[in-house]
Amino acid sequence: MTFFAGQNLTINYGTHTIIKQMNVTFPKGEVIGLIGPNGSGKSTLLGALSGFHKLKTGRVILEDHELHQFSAKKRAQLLACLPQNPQAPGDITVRDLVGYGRYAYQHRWTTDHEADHKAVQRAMVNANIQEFADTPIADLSGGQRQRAFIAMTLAQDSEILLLDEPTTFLDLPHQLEILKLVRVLNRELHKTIIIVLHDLNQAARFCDNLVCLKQGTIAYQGRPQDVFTAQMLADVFHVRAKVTMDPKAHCPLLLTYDTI
Amino acid sequence: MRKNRNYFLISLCILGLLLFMNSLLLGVHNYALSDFFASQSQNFAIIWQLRLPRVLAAAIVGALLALAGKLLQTVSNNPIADPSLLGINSGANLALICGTILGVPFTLFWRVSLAFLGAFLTFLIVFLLSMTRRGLSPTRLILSGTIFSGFLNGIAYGISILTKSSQRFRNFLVGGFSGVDCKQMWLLLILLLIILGLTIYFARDITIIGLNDQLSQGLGSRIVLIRSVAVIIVVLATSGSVAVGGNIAFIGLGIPHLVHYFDKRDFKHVYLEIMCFGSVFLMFCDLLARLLARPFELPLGGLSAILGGGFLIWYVYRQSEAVVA
Repeated sequence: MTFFAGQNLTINYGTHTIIKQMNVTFPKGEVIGLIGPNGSGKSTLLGALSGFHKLKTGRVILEDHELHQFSAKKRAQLLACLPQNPQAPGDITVRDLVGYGRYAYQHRWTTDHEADHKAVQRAMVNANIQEFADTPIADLSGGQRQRAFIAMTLAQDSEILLLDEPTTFLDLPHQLEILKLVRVLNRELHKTIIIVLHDLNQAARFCDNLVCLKQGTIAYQGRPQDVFTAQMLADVFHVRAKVTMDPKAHCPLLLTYDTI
Repeated sequence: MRKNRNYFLISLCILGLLLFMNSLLLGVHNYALSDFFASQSQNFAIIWQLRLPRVLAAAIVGALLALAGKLLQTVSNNPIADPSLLGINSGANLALICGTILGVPFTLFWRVSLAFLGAFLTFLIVFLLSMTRRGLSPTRLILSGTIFSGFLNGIAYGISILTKSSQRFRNFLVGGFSGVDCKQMWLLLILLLIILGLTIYFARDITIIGLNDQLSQGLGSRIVLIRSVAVIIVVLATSGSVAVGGNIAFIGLGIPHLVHYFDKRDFKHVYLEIMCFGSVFLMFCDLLARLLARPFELPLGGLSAILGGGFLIWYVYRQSEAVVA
């Protein structure tokens, strides 16, 4: 059975090809990091996997079905996506925002069910944002705001979570907070999480599987200890680096680096 | 908190009813409550056949324009969107003027069809101008709408000056409800029912597309479908309003912001409040227009723009430190 995969994906913006005939498979139950230089197609790939970007060729397979065979709401029940720089009206409260995550389960004419309230509450607790439930999102700090949006995607109760650079614009402690949250969601709620990350050391430390993109194709994929090598860094990022082992986290660590 | 908000809607409704009664009774002549039921008197006929359609038309147009404004602001993610900024009013206007010049019969059916056609064509052009490779650009929508509506207004003024018919179109250009009859009232009532039905049915979907595109798509929203529904509601509401009441400024832009001052929740929670507020505001303007310079009438469009403008300046002043996030 194919859990989640892209087959022969090609995506164009106008005449410009972003992703070229890509084949990629995502192992169930893991945290999968998408890494690669700017313009390598990470966000575009994520957009295609969530059904947002139109495919020129190929198909996205989700649980043995093509993605577009699902209705929009059914797809949202299986697959939640948090794009880069999410925006919502600043005056709505965290609770209302998280409630949007229940849209895929709600029918027209009906009001919110008890199940929706429970799911919203649970999502806020899991994302550790429940103390701000009645705060307008404009009043939140960057890290709190990001956790509120993550809570919204958790309310979708989907097995797969796509996160596009959820740590951008956050300082180091808040970056770590989000990444640890991602790991908890994976280990305890058993979600498969595909995450675009810029910081390579964080990718090596928090992901079970790394997908390295280079000019719209996949250059490397595998466990961090296998693919996070000086060879890969030179090949994909054009940096000369020394990779050692992080003695505490037991993962590869980029030590010294410079452009080639 | 929730209770307070319900009180807001209820008090708006009570205020609306009071205004409605007063609007029926007050005007060039004032009537007494007993005239409502004195079926033999002339006053009875005036109240039910002249005043009622007029007041009801003002109430409905107020509700429709306010809703249209809020819908556009929600679907374009732009707090200053307004049917008139997007040229929808101007398009309906110009179509009406051209139709009249070309000798199309000035019946209700033709007025409404023309207004709808003009509104829809204009919106289509503005919409196409604002499409980019990455979908609809809210900034382009406002820019092209503003420019195109200026262009259409210029043509409309030009035509009415060249054909020396500006007096006949006075009602379109300044807006007002004098001379509204029962047929127009029924038309507006039916339109209101359709629009209210559509809005209630799609309220949750419209709320979701108030987020940015990729986010609402990820939540399971069919953006193109819902945005089209919202646009159809806006075009219907605006063209119906223009066909009966002419150009009435401010309501679409200002009323949603005023309601936002009292209730900051999202679309699905506030659209009824916005419609009620729009009704109350336009009935109030219409009453003032009849009362302030008796026995003459003031132009309603101008009055609502002055009143609303004043309101908005006060609102912006009060909000000066708050920023839309």
